[in-house]
Amino acid sequence: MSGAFQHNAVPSDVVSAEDAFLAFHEMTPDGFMMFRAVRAGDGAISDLQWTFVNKAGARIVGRAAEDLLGKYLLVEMPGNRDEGLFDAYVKVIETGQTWQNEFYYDHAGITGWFRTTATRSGDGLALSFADISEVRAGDKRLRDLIDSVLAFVGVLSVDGVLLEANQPAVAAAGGDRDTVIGRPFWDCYWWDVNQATKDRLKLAVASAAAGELVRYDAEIQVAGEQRLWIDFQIAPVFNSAGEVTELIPSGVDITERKLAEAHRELLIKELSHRVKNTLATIQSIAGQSIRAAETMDDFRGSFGARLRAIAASHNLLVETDHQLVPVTALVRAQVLPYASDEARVTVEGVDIDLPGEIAHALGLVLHELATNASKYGALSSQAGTVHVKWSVQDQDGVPHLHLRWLERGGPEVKTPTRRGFGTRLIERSLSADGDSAVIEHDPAGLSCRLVMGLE
Amino acid sequence: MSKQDRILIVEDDALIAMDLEDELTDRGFDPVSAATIAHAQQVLESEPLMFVVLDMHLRSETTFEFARELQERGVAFLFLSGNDRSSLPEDLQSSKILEKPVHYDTLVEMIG
Repeated sequence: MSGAFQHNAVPSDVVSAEDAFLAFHEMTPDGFMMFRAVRAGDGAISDLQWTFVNKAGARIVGRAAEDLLGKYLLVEMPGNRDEGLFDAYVKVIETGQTWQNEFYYDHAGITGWFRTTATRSGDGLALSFADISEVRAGDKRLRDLIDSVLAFVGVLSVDGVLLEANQPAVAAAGGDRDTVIGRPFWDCYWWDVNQATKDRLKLAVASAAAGELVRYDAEIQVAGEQRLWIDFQIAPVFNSAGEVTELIPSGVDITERKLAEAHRELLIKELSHRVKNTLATIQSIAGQSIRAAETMDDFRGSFGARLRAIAASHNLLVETDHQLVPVTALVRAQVLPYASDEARVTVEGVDIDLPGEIAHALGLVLHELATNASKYGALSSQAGTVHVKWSVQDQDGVPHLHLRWLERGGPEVKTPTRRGFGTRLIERSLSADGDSAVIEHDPAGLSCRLVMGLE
Repeated sequence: MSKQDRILIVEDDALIAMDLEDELTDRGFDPVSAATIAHAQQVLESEPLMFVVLDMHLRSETTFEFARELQERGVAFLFLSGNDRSSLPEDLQSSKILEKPVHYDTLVEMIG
C-alpha cells in the first residue's frame, strides 16, 4: 500500500499499515472497493476494473470478492451506467474531486438505498458505500407521519427559503411541489394575501432565524383562492453549538374558531345596537306620554302600559328562535289584557309570522287601539266587542298585511277634537311605500284599516 | 317658521321620529320625517333643507348612499344611531354622529 498509511502506523514491527488497513476493512460494516480505470485508445475511461473488495462490500452486492476482482464494473453491474453512477466515477478520476451521494439502486438483484463516497486513487477509484435502506425506511415513516398530520408543516433555511413542505401544505398550494420548494417562503402561494401578510412573515422568519419561537394567527391562501386562518408558528432548530440551522414553520386551521369569534363580536355589536335603540324607544315613549298626560298619574299609567306592550311583543319575539312573531299571538297579547272577557274579542285571519321590527310597530299600534277602546270605546262598556280581522295580499310582488279593527257595542263615538298620540302613532307606524292607515270614527264604533308591507 | 328651519328626519321607527319632530318643533325648527329613502329623496327634491338627521339603518336599506348625495349637494347632516362610528363606511367616517338615546340639546347644537 502507499506510504500515506505509514506515518500513522504504530512504530512497531507487529502491525504493518497494510495489515491495519485490511483489518479495518474486514471489520467495517461499510462496503469498500477499489477500481483501476480502463482507458480506450483515445484515453477516455471506458470501464472500471475491480482491484479490491472488502468483506462488507462483497456481502452488500451479493458477490464473492474473488468473483469480482479483475472483472469490469459495466460488464458485471451495467446498472451503474443507467443510474449515472459510472459518469460520476469517471468525473472523480478525471477531476480528483470527491463525490458523495445517496441514491436508490434497483438492478440485477441489488435493491436498496445507498450512501456512496468516491475518491480518486491513482488512476482509479476508491469507493466506500453503505446500505442505508433501513435509515431511509425510518425517514419514510417520519415522512409519512408528517404528511399525515392535521397541520401544515415545512422546513426553511435560516434565510427563509422553503426546503420542504408536507403533503397537506403542498396540496393547499395547489398540489405542485415545484411551485413552492426552493422559493422564499413569503413568495409562496399561501402568503399571497396582501403585502402586510408577506411583511409580517418576513419579520417572523428573521426573528426565528435569530433563535426566537414565533407564533401568531395568520390569514393565508389555499388552493382555489380560498382564505384560511391558521395558528401559525415558526420554530428555530439549533445544532449542538447553539446555532440556528433550520426553521420549522407549521400551522393549524383555526378558521372555524375565527368565524365563531367574529360572529360573537357581531352579536355583541348587534346587542349593543338593540339596547341603545330600545333606550331610544323608551325615551320617545316617555317624551310622548309626558306630552299627552294631564297629571303624573296619567303619565304613570300610560307610560307603564306602553312599556308593558313593548315587553309583550318582545316576549313573543324571543319565544321563537327565528325572530318571527305569529300575528294571532301578537293580537291576543296586545288586546286581551284590556278585555274583561275573552269572548268580547274575536280574531280572524291566516296565522302568518311577522318580522321582529314589524311585530314591534304593529304591537304598539294594537296597544294604542286597545287602550283607547278600554278608555273610550267598545271595551269601556259592558257588552262592546272588538273584531280584528286580517289577510295577506300581494301588492306589486310584495306581501302586505291588511288588518281591520272594528269596535261595536260601545258608547257612541265622537270625532276627537285633537289627534292624540295613538292616532299619530298609527298613522306614522307605516314606513314602506304602499302602507296606509285609515281611522274612521263611525258613531256605531271606531274602525281602523291598516295596510303594512311585510318586506 | 321659515323655510330656513326645515329639517328632514330620516327614521323608520315611528315613535322615535314622532318624538324627534315634537322636540325639534318645540325648539323652533320645522321638521318633517321620512321612513324610507324614496320618501326622503322626494322631500330633498321638493324643498330646501337646512339639515338632515339620518338613522343609519332603515327597515331594508341603509342611508349611506343618501348621505353621499347630501354631501354632494352641500346639505348638512348627521347620523343619529344606536351604532357607533365603526358602523360607518370609510368614506363617511368624518360625518357627524350622535348616538341614541339622543340628548336633544346636543342635537340642536350640532344642527347649529
